[in-house]
Parts: sequence; structure tokens; C-alpha cells
Amino acid sequence: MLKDLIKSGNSPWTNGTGEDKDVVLCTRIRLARNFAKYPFPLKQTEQSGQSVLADMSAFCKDHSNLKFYDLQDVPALEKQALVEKHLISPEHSKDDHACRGLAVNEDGSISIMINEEDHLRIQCFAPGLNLQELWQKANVLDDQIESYFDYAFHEKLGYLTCCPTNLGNGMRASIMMHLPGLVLTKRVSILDQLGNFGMTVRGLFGEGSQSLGDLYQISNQSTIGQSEQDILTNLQSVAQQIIKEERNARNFLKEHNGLQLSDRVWRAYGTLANARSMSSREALELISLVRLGYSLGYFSQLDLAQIDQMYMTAQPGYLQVLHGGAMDDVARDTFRAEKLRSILA
Amino acid sequence: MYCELCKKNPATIHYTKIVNGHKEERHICEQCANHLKEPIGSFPTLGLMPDFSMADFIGGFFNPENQSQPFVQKNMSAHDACPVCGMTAGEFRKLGRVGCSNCYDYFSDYMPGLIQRIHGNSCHTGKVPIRGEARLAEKQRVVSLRQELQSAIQQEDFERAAQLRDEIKKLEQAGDQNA
Repeated sequence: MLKDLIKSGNSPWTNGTGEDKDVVLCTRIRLARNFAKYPFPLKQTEQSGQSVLADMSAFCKDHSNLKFYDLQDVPALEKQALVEKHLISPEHSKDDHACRGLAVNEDGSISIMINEEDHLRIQCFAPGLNLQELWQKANVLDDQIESYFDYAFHEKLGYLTCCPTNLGNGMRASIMMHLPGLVLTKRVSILDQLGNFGMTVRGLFGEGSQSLGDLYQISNQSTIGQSEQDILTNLQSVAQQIIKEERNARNFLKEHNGLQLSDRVWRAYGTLANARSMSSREALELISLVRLGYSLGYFSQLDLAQIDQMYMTAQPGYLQVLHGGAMDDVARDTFRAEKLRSILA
Repeated sequence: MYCELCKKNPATIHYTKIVNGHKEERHICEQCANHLKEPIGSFPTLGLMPDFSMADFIGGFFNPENQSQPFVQKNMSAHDACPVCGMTAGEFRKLGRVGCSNCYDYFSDYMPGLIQRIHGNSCHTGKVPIRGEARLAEKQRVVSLRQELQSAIQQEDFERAAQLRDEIKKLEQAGDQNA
């Protein structure tokens, strides 16, 4: 099942559905939890690490929607693809015999990293902007796990985590947004202000202020002193402001620079539909323009799921898993171009 | 002018490198500059800057030299270790992370200031584990029974004191079994 999940171009953030989908690809809620009876992964022994895996494996047996995997048995390329799909962190894909495990459901909307920095990193994903429903889902799953095992909890500090920055509710809620309008109108600097509202921003791919493919992730910063509900309400209203600004920017571009914009968008489409070799970087840049064009009504023959699946196709690990083995750069770029053409054909 | 490294792209970055008095002019493209981890432009030492690490950042809070007002109240030797997981004060300072739940007690004199610096407000107000809630209530019940016991002893009501002692014992035993 894991291989099917990895090979599927369909993930919660690429299935083209959900609220405010023109701007928000997907929402994620992550809870950091530790079992009371074992030392944290940083100080665990082989034995205590294996006990955590065994406990979660037993939990998954009772909850048939979740499948348990010992990551030591998963090939490196597949782990890379899991990172690209945000199901595990880059740290968790390391081959370091640290008793790393994964529990995941069939469509990849739930993923529990086992023995990452904390015993459990419970992650729930939903397409589009969907904080409330997602919190309900994560909360129920958290209760289910807690009905089996005692969590490390302190009445003042909240859920105890390996890193003091996650103490409190241990919750990180993130919204992945596509912001080409703000980038093209050079207004992406408004994101720098989010720190004042207790939010952090980072590019989804690449580093620095300009994110590859104009994809940004906005998350809450603090985890203590505020209830989960307050944090989510705050994040929701900040996200709605950004969505409004992004739509304004897109409409401004279309109204005042329509020719230049449509030219760039259609050229991007033409390249994606015809190129014979394409790097991951170029693909992400072009997909962004096509996605922007789609939201402004330039393409009636496409749907959003097709466009967002191209994001997966841009990723090297995913591509090599599709191919069935490792490829060098040239082979990869050729195969990527072929896959992108077939999506748009 | 083409980039002197790849000889393909136009050179867009021009700089002078002086090493031990030896002057060298370089003309390269942006792509090559990215591969070249050499100091460039107006930030001559940028290439030498280590990657930012959150652990170092947190660890820095414990270095008294960094603090105008050191907030570590208790002096701990670097070898003092948490009795449960073996994390030493030195390791904690270096990694900025703890090894187990007990570390939060053991290093508690470090913590309040640290958590305030990270989070501002250092009291959890969110979700409480269901089972944890029951245990918390039990703990609080034991605390109040103990206070009652003290006052019973002071009032020399030994019959009541004996009752209270037994009740506390029962609660604590039950707590140990559940733990």
C-alpha cells in the first residue's frame, strides 16, 4: 500500500478540491506528543525505541485505517518521495537506525511520524483552507492514541516535547499558499509582517524570501499560553487577509497588464506541454504561472487537479519512484518533461 | 564578457580577491557564484557563516557570557545528569533539547526564563489529556488531604489524622499502579 500511496499523483494537496483552492493548496495540523514511560528519541535506547514502534504497531492493528511501517524497510528513493509529499520530514528519512516508523492512512491525509524528534508527530492534511475540520480530526486521533498510552504532560508546561519550542499544546498548524500575484506585484514583503501576529512564513521549496513556484507556508509560532482554538482562529483570519490581497494582486495584473500576463502564462503552458527536457526548478516556475492563469480563467481545458499534480511530477524522488529506479540528471529531466507533457496532453 | 568558470553565461558578478597581499580579479556568473562558496561582494565573510541552528540559538541562552542578566539561578556543573535519561547539563546547553519528561523537572531552574524567552507566556492553557486530567485531579486531591492531615495533627485530632493518612496512602498506591 505504501508504494501505491507514493506513486499516486493524488495527495491532499494536489487533488484540486477544497475551500479557497485558487490560493490555498492545503492545510496541515501537526501535534507533537511523547509517551510518558520512555525517554525521548534523543536519549532512547534501541530497546525503548523498539518499544515505541511496537506500541504504535499494536495501535495500528486496532485501527485498520492506519498502516504501520518500519522505515528501515523502506528504500531510500521511496523515503525521498515521502518527504516530497510532506508525509515525513527530511530528518525522518535518514538511514540512521534510530527506530524510525510511520503510520499512514490510505489517501495520505493522516501520517504519524514515529520516533522523529518526539515519539509521535501526528499530522493531518486537508485540501484547501480547512483548519476547523482538520483540528477536529487531529483531536479525535490524538484522543484515540491517548486512550492506549499515557502522554508526557505537565500541568503548567502542557505536552512535554524534546525541544522547548514545542511545549504547550505541541500544535503547529500550517497553510500552504500559492502567491504568484503578490510575488509579481512585489508585495510579498507583507508576509514579513506576520511575525507581529505570532506567525512564521517560509518558502515551501527552496530557501530565502523568494520561494520556488511561489509557494509559501504560513504557520503559528507559539505553542504555549494560547488555546488551540485561539491559535486557529488567529491563523484563519490572517490567511483570509492574505487570500484577499493575493486575489486583488491577480486581478490588478489581469486588468492593467493583461497582455503581458497572458503572454507569460501561455508561454509557460507551451513550454510545459512541449519541452523535451526540464529541470525541477524550471518546472516549478512554469507550473506557478499556469496555475495563476487557470485562476484567472485563461484555461478552460484544464482542471486544478491536473495542474497541482504537476507539482508532484516536478519532484525528483517521486519521479524516480515512478520510473522504478535511480536516474541521472539528464534522464530525470527528460522523463520529467515526458510526464509533464502527458499530463497536459 | 563571459563567466571565467563555465565560459557559457555572461559574467554578472565582478569582484577582487586579495589573499596574503596577492590581488586577483574575478568575473563570474550567478550560477557559478552559487556553487562557489567564496566570499562575494559587500559581505566578504558571508560564505563563511555557518548554517543557522535553532539548537545553538537556544543553547546560547545558557551561556552566561551572552547574558546581561543571567537567568540560570542554580549553578549546575556540566556533568550533572538527569537521573532518568542521563542527559547532562552540558549536553542540554549544547543541544537546546531535553532527553525525557523528567529533564523538565531536573533542569527546572533553567527552564522558566528559557520558556518565557521562547514563548512569552509560560503557562499551558490548551488541551489536557483525558487520562492526564484524572491523574491531575487525584494529585490535587492528595495535596489537599495532606494539608488537612497537617491541621488535624496540629489540632491533635489523631483519629481523623489516621483516617486521612490511610486515604492518602490508598490514593498514592492507586496512582503508582496507574503510572
